[in-house]
Amino acid sequence: MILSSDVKDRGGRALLKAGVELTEKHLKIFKTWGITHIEIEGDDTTTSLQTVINAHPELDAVAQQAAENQFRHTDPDHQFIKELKALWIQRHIKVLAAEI
Amino acid sequence: MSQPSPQRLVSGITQVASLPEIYMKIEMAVGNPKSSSKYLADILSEDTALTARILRLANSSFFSFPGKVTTVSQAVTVIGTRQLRDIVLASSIVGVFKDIPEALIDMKSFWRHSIACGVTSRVISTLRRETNVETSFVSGLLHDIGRLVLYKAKPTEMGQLIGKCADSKELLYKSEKEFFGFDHALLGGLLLKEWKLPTRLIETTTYHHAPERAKEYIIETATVHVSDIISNALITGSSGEKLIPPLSDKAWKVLGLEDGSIELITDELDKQYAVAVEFVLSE
Amino acid sequence: MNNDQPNIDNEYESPESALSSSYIRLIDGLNEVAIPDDVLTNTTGPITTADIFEAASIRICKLCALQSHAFLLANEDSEFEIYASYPEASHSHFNALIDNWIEDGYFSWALNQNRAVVKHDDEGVNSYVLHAIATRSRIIGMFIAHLSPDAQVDEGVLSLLSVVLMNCASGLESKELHTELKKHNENLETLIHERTEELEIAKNRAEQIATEKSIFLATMSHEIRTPMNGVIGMAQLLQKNNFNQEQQSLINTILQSGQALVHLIDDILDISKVEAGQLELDPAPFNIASLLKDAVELLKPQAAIKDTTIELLINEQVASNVVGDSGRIRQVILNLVGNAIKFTTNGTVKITVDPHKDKGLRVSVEDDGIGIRPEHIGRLFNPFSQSDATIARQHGGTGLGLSICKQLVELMGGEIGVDSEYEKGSVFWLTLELPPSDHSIISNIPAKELHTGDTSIMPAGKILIAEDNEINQKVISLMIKSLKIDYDIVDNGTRVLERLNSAPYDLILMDCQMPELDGYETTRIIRKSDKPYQQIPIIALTANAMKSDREECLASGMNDFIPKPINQENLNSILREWLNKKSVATTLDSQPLTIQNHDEMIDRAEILSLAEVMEDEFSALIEAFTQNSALKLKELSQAVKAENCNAAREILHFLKGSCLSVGALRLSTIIATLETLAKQASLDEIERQLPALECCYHETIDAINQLIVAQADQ
Repeated sequence: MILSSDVKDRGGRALLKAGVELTEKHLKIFKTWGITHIEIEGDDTTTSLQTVINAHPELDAVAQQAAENQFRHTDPDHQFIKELKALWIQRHIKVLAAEI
Repeated sequence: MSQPSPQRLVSGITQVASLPEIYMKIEMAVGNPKSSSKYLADILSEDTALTARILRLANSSFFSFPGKVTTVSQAVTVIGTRQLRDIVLASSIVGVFKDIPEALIDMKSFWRHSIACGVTSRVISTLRRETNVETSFVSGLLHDIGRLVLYKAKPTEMGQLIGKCADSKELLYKSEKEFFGFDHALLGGLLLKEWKLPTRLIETTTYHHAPERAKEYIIETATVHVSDIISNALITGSSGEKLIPPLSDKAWKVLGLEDGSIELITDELDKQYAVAVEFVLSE
Repeated sequence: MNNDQPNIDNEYESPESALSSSYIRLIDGLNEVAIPDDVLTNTTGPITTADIFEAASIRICKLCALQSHAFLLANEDSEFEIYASYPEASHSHFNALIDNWIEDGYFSWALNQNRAVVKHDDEGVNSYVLHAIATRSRIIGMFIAHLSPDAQVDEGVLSLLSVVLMNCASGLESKELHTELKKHNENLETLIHERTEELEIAKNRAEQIATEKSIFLATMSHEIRTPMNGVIGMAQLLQKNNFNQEQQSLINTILQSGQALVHLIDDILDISKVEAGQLELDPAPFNIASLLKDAVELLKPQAAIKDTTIELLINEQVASNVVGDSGRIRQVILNLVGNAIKFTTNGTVKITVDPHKDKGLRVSVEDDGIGIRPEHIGRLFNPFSQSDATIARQHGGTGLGLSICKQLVELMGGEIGVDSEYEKGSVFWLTLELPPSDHSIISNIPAKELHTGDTSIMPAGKILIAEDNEINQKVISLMIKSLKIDYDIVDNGTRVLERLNSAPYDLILMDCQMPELDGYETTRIIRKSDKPYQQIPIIALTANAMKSDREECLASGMNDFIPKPINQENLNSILREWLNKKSVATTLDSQPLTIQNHDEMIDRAEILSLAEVMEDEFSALIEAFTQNSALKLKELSQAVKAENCNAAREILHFLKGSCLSVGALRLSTIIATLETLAKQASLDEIERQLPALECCYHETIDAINQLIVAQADQ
């Protein structure tokens, strides 16, 4: 099994880099640090959210517009706000998609 | 008609509502250095419903304890003795406000937002490796409590303000300030003060929309401020505010979170939210 | 159950009493934690991980009773390893425990708690404390302790433990950062060192190349000119013979080719010099009108051949006497006018000079020749551009002319350009800013260059020629012979000295480059010597035409120089000038000094300019002169009384030099006279003149000081 993305601890510290072939030693490391989920190559890494977004591209514009309204009192240039907004848009698309 | 003073509004609440006895007992016990976890467990055991909830919580992803927690003593060890006080407060706060009319506000919605804010605050504190993350949980949980005071004491006015904000796309807390001369944050702080809760909780509640004004608990207030914004954006549920409040960059900076940490925070929030809802709303 | 009091132990302790004892314990604990680490402050070297753990260990043991404890660190592979265990033997016990805890997930749980956790083993006998060692940003390790059975751990103790371990983590992080920084700095230093070395090497190489180029230029200059000198010299001499027309034509060809070759070499050297930034201008006052007129005169024969007339028009408002490098300006003018003539047949070349802007002038050379194609104009001033090369081939020239003109004009801070219409003619123009000169000069061209060599009025004398090259020897001797002057030839400096000692000569023609003893050294020896021939006129024969070489000639004590290839006319005028002078007083300074009789006491202009240049040091100079001269005068008096002729001569010689330096004209004249007397050993006469000398000295000092004061008052 080969790791398909970096494994990090709860604080964001990199424990293992992507591309490593997993051994017993690595499994012990996961247990030591309390890692419960890892991504292996071969897994379909497309999240369900991603699938939804791909299936309904038109919703993106709608969601963007809604985001502008929702975030109207915030600073659009702030890095954190940008990240939050992007996440909001993703989730909103999912909501909109569910309503279809 | 002149506006009533916030103090009067708060007094209106404290006359009819008070913190549950179990909380007071735990608080006193925790304050006593001679208390053992067994003693605390004994106090808790008096309330079977609460015991069950706490056991469930101790076994949940809230604590990710390896192995099964079967006794209250164990639960106390897992949760931590000092932390227990906050958990008990969190478990009982909903009961204090059960008489708010539903027509005005969806209480479930209110508590969902509050719980989300609580969990997010807890997650951020954990990231920052703070010692007592449960206090952050309670801080987040209580931040909008002042709104409940307004809904209870001034339902009509609040109804109008909410309607107005829906049209004009203004922020509700600013409209409160304009209309009443004070906002829910100030009210909430006053209420917690009346209940003699710790200064930390009072400050985080009072200044969660103006974190630069916090005096002692700057980081804690910043945590709640940022968590309010995050939970507002990502979790369905609202205390009345429909739009996302502005972020204080100073508060953001003081937390020292790295770019992209929103992902980590969101992951943990998603994991723990359901558990927290179940615990607080006991459903 | 009692609701108010916890039922703990058998002690009936009131909450107040419990609180106060707890409080005291906490304060004690805090005090422990707050004191700076002994281990960390006493260390003389860099702090190690062991030091940090040692300090933490000591603290923790004071907080609660432990059976054993250990510190773990996460390594590069993110595995935890025991770094230190106390006592050492507990190492394996802990390892076993840790493996179990990792397996059942307790280790990771404890690691992610931000506080101490207490674990009891299944039997309830042993209690352990686990606490992550972490800073805000990352987890570094884990602390594990096995509690003693009687250990009292309450929240307070555990909080203090957190404080100690947080400090520990900070220390470890600092140390790591420190090590990284040090490594980074070392890397940086190595990098800088390497870069500096590389730069050094590159710089040295560049300098080396520049030097090699300079040496090459100088050598080429000499090596090529020497044989050229032979060819041209021979050809010139042959010309004087009575050959038939065909033979004359052949000789002319040889001469022209030789001269063209020398011209080409000059051009190449010029271009190289300008490009290397080594061409130095030699600004001096000169007269524009004269320069242009002479240039026109020089080119008249060429123009006549092409049935072309040259007109010269100088605007009245153009300043006549200016400061600039007349040689180079002439070079440019000759080139432009020469080109104009080449391109014009049966036409007119008009040279106009007008004022340009503030202090400048603009020279236009207009011809009505064949003009230049528009596509060629752009590259006209580039070296070896096709148009120039074509001109060169068709009309003679090196193909470098215009590019050299451009370089020279631009070096002088001017501009050069051309307007041309094909088949109509061209106007070459240049603008220069030449500051006006204060001196009024009648003619800027040294007299030597204009003379046509009239041998009938050549003074008599005997010349010593020092030249090591056989061909050159031949050339020069033939030239001298044609002047009917007596001469001897030697081939190095040593021989020169030998000859001088055995026979009297009136002049030396000294080649600079000779084996054994070269021209410079020989001259220096002659000038330093105490012999009658000390002041013999020495004329340098030099193939090196660079300014620095000329300066070296003068500095070594030579009086003048003749460039090679030797031109008969040049030779004639030089000989005419210097054979007349015979013994000329020179100093070992860089300028040949001629003593003249001055009516003025002091050279006011000289002194003022000295004062301006030297600024603050000028007064020190005058002071030094005053003191020194007074001293020398005393010494002179003593020498005369002691009848020491040589000493007197030396003192007078020295005084003369310093007087001239400060512009003390009259004083220097008197001293010069005395010096001559001293040479003739007329000490009595000198003694009689001493009072006058002293009087003049005082007057001179007064005059100088008055001048300075008057100047300062303005």
